[in-house]
Amino acid sequence: MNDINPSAKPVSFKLVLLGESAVGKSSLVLRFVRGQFFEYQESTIGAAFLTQTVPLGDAVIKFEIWDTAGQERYKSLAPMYYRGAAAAIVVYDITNYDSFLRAKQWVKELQRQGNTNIVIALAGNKSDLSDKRKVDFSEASAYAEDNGILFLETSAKTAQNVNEIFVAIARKLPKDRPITDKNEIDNIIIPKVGDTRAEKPGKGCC
Amino acid sequence: MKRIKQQVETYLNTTEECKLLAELILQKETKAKVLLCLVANRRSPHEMALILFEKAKEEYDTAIRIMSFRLLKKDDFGLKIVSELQFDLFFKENTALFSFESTSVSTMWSVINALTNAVKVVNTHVAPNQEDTDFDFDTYTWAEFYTKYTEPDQNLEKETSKAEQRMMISDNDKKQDQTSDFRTSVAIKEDWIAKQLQNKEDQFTEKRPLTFVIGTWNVNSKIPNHLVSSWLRINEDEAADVYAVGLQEIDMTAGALLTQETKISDQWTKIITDTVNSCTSHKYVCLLSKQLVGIYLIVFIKEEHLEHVQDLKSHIEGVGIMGMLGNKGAITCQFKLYSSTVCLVTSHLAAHTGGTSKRNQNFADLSQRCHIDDDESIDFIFWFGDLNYRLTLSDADTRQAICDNQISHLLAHDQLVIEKKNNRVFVGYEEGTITFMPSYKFDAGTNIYDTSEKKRTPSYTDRILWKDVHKVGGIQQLYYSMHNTFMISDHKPIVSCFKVPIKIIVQDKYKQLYRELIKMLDKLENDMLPEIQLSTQMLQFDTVEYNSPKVCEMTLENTGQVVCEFIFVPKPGEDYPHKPWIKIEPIGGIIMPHESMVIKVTLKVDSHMAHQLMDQPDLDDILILHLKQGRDHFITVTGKYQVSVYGIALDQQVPECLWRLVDWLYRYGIKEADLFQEAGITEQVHQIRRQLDHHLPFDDNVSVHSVAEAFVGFLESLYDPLIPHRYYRMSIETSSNAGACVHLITKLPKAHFDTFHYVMAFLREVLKHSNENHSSIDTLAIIFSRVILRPPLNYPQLQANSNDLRAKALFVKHFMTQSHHWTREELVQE
Repeated sequence: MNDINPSAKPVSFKLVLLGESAVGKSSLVLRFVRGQFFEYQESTIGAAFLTQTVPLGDAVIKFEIWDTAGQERYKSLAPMYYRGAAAAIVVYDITNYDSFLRAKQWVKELQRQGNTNIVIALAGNKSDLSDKRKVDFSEASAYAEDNGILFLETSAKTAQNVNEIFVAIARKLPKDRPITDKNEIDNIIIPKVGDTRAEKPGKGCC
Repeated sequence: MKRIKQQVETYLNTTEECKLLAELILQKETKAKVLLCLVANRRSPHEMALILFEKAKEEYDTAIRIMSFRLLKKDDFGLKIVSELQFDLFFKENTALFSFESTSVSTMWSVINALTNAVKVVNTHVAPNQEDTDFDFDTYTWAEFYTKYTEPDQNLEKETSKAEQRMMISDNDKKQDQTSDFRTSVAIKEDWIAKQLQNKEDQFTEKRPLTFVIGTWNVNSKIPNHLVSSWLRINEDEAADVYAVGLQEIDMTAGALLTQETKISDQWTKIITDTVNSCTSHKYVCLLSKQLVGIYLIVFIKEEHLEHVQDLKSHIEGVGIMGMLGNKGAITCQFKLYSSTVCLVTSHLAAHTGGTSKRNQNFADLSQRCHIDDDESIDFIFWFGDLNYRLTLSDADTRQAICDNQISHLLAHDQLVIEKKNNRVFVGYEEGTITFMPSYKFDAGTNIYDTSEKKRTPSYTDRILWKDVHKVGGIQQLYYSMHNTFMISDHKPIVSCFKVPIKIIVQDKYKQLYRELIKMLDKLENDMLPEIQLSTQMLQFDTVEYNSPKVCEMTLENTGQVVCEFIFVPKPGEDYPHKPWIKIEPIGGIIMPHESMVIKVTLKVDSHMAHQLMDQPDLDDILILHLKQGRDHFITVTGKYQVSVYGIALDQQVPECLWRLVDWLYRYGIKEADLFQEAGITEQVHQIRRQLDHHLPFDDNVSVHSVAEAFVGFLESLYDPLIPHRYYRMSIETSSNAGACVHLITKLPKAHFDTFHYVMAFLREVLKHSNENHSSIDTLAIIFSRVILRPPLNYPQLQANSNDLRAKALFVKHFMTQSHHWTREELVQE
């Protein structure tokens, strides 16, 4: 039965977006979550956080989406965000071959250091600019198949395949997983007690 | 309403100390206007309170007053969604429960988000209230202004009874349940979705009238030898969706009383199964067949509906002998059909004309024990059976009325009609118009009322009633009749047919509504995430000199709608949120909406870090500013350390800069009053350091005290002190023994030994001029032992106490009093 089960409780999954700077990670998220697109999207300096619920047939999936900074100098911070992630979308720009090479490196890193059962999707973004294409669909598709990951060419601008890629991930996620504690996003290391270098934060903090 | 808001704002601004975080205006039919405000202390935002303002009811009275004031304590209050525009706020220790109603979904959600956010902040930052002691108002001085107006708890209770339209007393046990599930806003949201779906059911359901045929018969232990299709009117044209048959007295043997189920029920099951499945082209599936001594219930459903049946439940309760045996009692069959829940009940109640109150009691007991009353999910109840209510007319009058076909006259004396009219039984149930003669009591095999000696008065013992629990309307009774053709029993069978408006979910509409709700909640949730605007994400310090702190400031502005708690967090694999030469003030905090906070980032390279930065002088770091329950911002710090001779490690000989400093002091400063006791001029000290670094002459007008400070500072900056770290402990331990101290010095590496010797020689020169420079051996020993003998970083802090200070000074003093000159070689030879 493909009916929505009203008694299904949303199951939360952490999803992270990785990829070179300016390939359209934030644009994909904003298209998916808010249905918006901005031609000049500000560069993400940090890691943006948004949530989006996807009702599937018998389950309700709630994505906790971490949209990371693409600039190379923040590379070492990426593990903070893919650690504990159930899914990752690795994004490249079809008009930029280097971004595809970078995407492959991210896939490798995720497969080596991410969660064991992480669901990875490769997104060849900016499919609306196919006249400037530098990455062949067949090449990316073959790479994805070899590595057992999902692959779609997307366009945050035209919305093509944006919902589809999230839904495809949702379908591959284990539905029996317990609800992630919302606090997982606050699962951070607080400076050690007695660290004299760290100023005592305001009254009552920590 | 605007006026109230303004007044409240004036009220709040009077104190200047607290800030309004969320507000909700209630307007009830009573015209009473109440404003709920969540406020926080500006200076320590984790101190929050709820204030209820009320406008006077009289129109001419424009004053507002504080109705109640309540500081938020840890784990103190919870929220529960009542409907799409209503929620309850309740407090743990207090029985007060506030019901709020909002005018729009988004207002309600912004308040709920502010409140759940407040719960999080309060729960992390406010200590739990001790059970016995009262809340400590002293620490919440800002709240005094309000507490003047209200005694928090008393007032709450007083107001509770006063303003009933918005506050109710909730029963204690119910409240406990709620407290346990309020913690996550996730639960609140699910609750809200469920309530929304419930409220908007009409938008995605349609009512489909399904046909229920219900029969009841007291069979007096007899079994027919044929099908019973004429009783249940089973034929192709009238094929029902559900058939429910209740029988009584199928087995009245003593054995049945003990076992409850006997073989006779199998025979009945076969007869009825054959009946429903042989008279139409439809296939019927048995949902349930159960026996309780003489009572028997069997339910069939048309096969096409079977996959829409859920939550099938059945209760069997006896109220017979001893109030529990099954000679009297009931069997229920409850199930959800599509989206409506139907409960079918057959019962045999207490007998005899005088048993009315017993029958009423049986009904009440069975309703309760079969959970018919307390199950809110039930939409429709059908109750049928030998209810045993009698006619109170005399036997003769009854028989006469039967002959005259005066049914209404009979019913006027029917116990059930009378009891029901007086609300003593079957309250809320309906019964169709009876157009048939009494179904009891006949001579077996005939249609003649009882001619035996007992001569029972004919009565309407066998009845079918229904209840539309949620009063949705639409139940239609098509017929209600008795069948004379069945003559084996002393009762005649009764049958009734209903059109029941069963709710069916239209999946497309349901999905659409569900998606819309989820989308709206996602949007609200994302809009309510903490948000901060940073004045800059790039802190550029350019060059940073030794021991000269440089400060950059950035402003965090809370541009979101909720209280934002931030903290700088360590990078993966690191223990601290920043490099050792960075200081962040404050490293965490809470910012209220539309307020800002300045973060001071200081870069300072001191003696601990100078040496390691000599080869790699880049002062680069990335700070991670984490918003609790929200995003992270990266802040890039860049700077370059201006490498200096300060912080060097001694390797071969006495460093050149030390020669320069000592030489200068010897020439121009040895007679300066208060030498080494007066502070230098900071800028001059830095200038001297630069001149040493670049081998430039000192300024002509430089102060002696500045050079003296630069000299002490240089000794302090040495990567390994003059007496190296590894000799620190030994120096302290041997300080009282001059010989041992001298011996220890002989073990120092050459550069350290030479420099130490050089510095001591100079200090002895200084002391020779103590008349002019006011120096004393004790003060010089204290000043120089501090920089010459520095404890290693891992040295236990507790031991670096005043004893250590004294020992260090003593150690140095040995070398300041000795007037003879040593060389290292001489000492070694000794």
